Amino acid sequence: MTIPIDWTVAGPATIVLVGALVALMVDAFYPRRTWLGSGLPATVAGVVATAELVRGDATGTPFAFSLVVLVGTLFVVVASNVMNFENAMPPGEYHFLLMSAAAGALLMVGARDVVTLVVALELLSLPSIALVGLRQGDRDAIRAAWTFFLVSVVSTAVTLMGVSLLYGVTGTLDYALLGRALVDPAVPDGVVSVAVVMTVVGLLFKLGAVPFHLWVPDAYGGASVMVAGFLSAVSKAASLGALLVLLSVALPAAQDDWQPVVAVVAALTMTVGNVGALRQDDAIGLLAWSSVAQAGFLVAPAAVVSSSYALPAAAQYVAVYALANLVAFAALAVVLRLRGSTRLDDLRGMARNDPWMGVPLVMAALTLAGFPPAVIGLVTKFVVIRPVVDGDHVWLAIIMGVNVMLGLAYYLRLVVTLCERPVGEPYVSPSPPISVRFAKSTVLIGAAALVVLSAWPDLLLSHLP
Amino acid sequence: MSRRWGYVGLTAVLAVVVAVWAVPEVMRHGYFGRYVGASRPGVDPPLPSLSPDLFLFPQAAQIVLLAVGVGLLVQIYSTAYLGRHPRYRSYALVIVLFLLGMIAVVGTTNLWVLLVGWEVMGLCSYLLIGHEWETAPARTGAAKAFLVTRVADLGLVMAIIVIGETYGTYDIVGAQVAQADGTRHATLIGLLVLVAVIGKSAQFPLHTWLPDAMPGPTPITALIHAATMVAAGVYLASRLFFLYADSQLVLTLMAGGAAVTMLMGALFALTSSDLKRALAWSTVSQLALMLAAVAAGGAEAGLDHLVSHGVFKALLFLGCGCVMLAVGSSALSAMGGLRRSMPVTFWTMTIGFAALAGLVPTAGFFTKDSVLHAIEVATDGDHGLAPGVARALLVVALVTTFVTAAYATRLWVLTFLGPVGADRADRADHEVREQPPAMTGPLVVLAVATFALSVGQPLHLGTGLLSTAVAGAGVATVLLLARRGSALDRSPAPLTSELWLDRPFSRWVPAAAAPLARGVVDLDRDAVDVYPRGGAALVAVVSRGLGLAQTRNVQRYATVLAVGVVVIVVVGVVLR
Repeated sequence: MTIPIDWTVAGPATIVLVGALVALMVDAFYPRRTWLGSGLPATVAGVVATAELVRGDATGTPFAFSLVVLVGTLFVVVASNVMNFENAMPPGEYHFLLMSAAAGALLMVGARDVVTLVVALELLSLPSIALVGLRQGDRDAIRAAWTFFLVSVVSTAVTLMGVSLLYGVTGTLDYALLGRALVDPAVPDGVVSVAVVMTVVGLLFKLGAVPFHLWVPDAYGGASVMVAGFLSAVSKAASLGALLVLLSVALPAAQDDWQPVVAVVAALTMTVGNVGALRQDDAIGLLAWSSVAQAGFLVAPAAVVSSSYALPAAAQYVAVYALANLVAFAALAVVLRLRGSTRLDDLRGMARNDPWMGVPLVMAALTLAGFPPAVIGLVTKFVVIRPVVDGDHVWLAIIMGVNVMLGLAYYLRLVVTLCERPVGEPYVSPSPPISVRFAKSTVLIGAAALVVLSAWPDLLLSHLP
Repeated sequence: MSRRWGYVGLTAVLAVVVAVWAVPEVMRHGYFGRYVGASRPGVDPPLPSLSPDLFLFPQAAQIVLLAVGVGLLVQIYSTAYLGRHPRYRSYALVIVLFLLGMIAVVGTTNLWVLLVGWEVMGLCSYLLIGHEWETAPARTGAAKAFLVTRVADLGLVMAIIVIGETYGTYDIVGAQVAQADGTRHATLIGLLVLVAVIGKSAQFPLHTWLPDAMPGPTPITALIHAATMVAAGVYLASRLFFLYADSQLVLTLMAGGAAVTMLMGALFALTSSDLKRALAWSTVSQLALMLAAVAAGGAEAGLDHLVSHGVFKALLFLGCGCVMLAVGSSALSAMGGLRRSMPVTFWTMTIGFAALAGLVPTAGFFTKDSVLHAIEVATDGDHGLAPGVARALLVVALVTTFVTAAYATRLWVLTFLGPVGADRADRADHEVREQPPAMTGPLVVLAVATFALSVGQPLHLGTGLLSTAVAGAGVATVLLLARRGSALDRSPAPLTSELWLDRPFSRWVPAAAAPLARGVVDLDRDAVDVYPRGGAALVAVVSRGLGLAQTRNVQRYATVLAVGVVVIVVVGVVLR
């Protein structure tokens, strides 16, 4: 018996997994605790997988989301170099877990049946949990990982319950067959409603949507900064991609069931996230809450997935969001390593006394806020609101508009803090200087990409489907 | 020192760029042929755009050249006049912005860009008039200029909207193309344009802001009065003339307003006891003369006079600045007898006063002659204006010519000839000296330009002889009076108090507006602000609550999650 394998989907994921194994092996046989030893194979695997994806014949939404996942992973791998010579972080395990999670993310986007989806979800979740708790001897990290794990298990259980109900009702788990089976009027409506909502819960949990967001601030705060970046960018992009495919291919017939739920969740998520971010006084906490709010913007087009604008809008928004968030997290990782703090008070005036990290951070914050001169942020905000208006969810569009304003309140506070005149002497780290060239250059490249996209938004809009 | 010349350099670069752009246009002829505007007239007005749509016709090119030329001279002059001022940087940069605003008004066919330039000039004039904001007159003068020209802005915005709705384009040339099929809403557009022009160019009844803008630094007065701000109003009137040329009502109103303003301004200038204020009134009067030409259908004559007036009025104001710096006051009673001690200023200002009086062979004579000729042509009734109105306008213009020559001579005599004024004679340091070359140089340049601009100007023999005779009579009268020993300060009370025309603006409007403003402030503070303040407080409380909810208690998280699932499922099923 031969199992048909779709190499378009499996190819990049396999390459990434091979890279993960090689990274682990290198570290096992040459345990010198430097970051490059295992980081290099991971980087090469990321590049090759990206090449394979671009060369292959994947198109449309899966291609866009896979690309975001791969480029995001690559960014995280290179920027993680900031943890070089950090004794508490084992590089081999780190890269292995990171690449495994990335493979899970890729499979999730490419999944075409619910079982693959659940397995990929677990392949993404479990290494992520381990990554959060990887820092040795750090009680906060372990506690965060523990929280993340338990909440994750509960949500997976709910999803599995939904999946089993779906299977019970329709007798199939394949997306396409599910889509056809649900059209059948003989299928009991009530059960389908419950099943569909429960299935979606697992993905909403990974996205950090309200009311499944409680783990987000804790996990981001406890994990290494780059791991938080990975969770906020790559993991979210993959979950969103999977959610969109699931809703548009498998469950269009049950649209009446999930559409109000998804819309309400999107509205709640962005509002709660923004309100939570308002009073944060630590840059990482602020970004954690802001990424909850951004999850709301990500989910919003899913509510109107039948609109022809929705899928490209979501892909374009998530690409820019992931890039800006990764730039911000990487810059903060550098700052945390060099200065030992990311509290807003300690970041005061950074754009003046440390422009190489401060200005990219400003650019990323402006992009996330959708405020010129970061035109691309503004453009994608428009892009993501358009399908919502188009799909007759005007109330949701209004809430999105209000939330854009709410977001401005704290993003601009961050920007103002960074651009203020510093008071007193700039903070100098007592520890000896560490080389963070790789991380710094990734930040700069990412910020440059944001600038280029702001000058020519068409580069993104016409090339990402 | 070098810092100040840096701003001169910046202005010079701007001037060179503008010259490269505008000089070829001065020579060129043919109006529509080479214009390739993007906006084609349609049925519905397009969305307002801010595309530059640069376009110059020959006279507009002259006006931008005048603006940057005077602007450059003003910058050079200011290095000596105001160089030690602590806020020199903002002063010099606002001048550059001012010039950019004027270029935007004159150099575009896009009405919205024109509006932006118009507003930028309004803002800059506010900033510059109020440059010495430590003094109360500067603050009130700036605020008055800003508020009164707001009325003009309102007229312009409405006019732009009506033009867009009528002709389906916000492009001036586009409107001109569309207008060829027939003029529509001429009276409405004309009235709105008239409001804009009256406010911006300080015409009756909104004329009082211009003399009150005198606390501004004198170079700025030169810039505002000669080349930029007030010129924009006249420019707009002639640029959009084709849109309201058919409307008898608008033309008659414009002619009437111009007649009243020109005579009134000239009489106020004749009786003013302050050199700078007299020159300001003279600007009001001369602008009215230009608008009279526009109303008579001679828009080109009006723009020609705008250019030559810009040159000699800049000369007069800059010279006035030299005198003021020398004697420490702008009151005429502090002057007199400056001919020997300030020869360069004396000779250049003599040329300026001659141009103002309209004496041969200065540019002022030729362009005033063109204006009078245009009005005279209009008396045949073929140019929109009723013959009777045109005849009355011509008579008023000739009377104004007489008065203008008279007050120009009076100012000249009182400033440079005659005995040393009472205010200065009893001061110990009444020794005055000529100003440095950075200040006299621009005067010489402008004096030369006053003659140079008369080259190639058309001459209309009949009106030319008549106006020379009238002006000569005015000059002679004043000289005779001075020869007989008159102090030239005969000033009836209604004229010295400027007919109490400022009273509505200085007393009645504030008195009426104050309670209203207080009411609005109270309403805003006590009623409207409750919502944002309450909202902010609520959000702050919720935000803190969300922070407290992060207890790191896994059991609670799991509970929230489970309850959330149940709620969502119930909502999903119920909403279905």
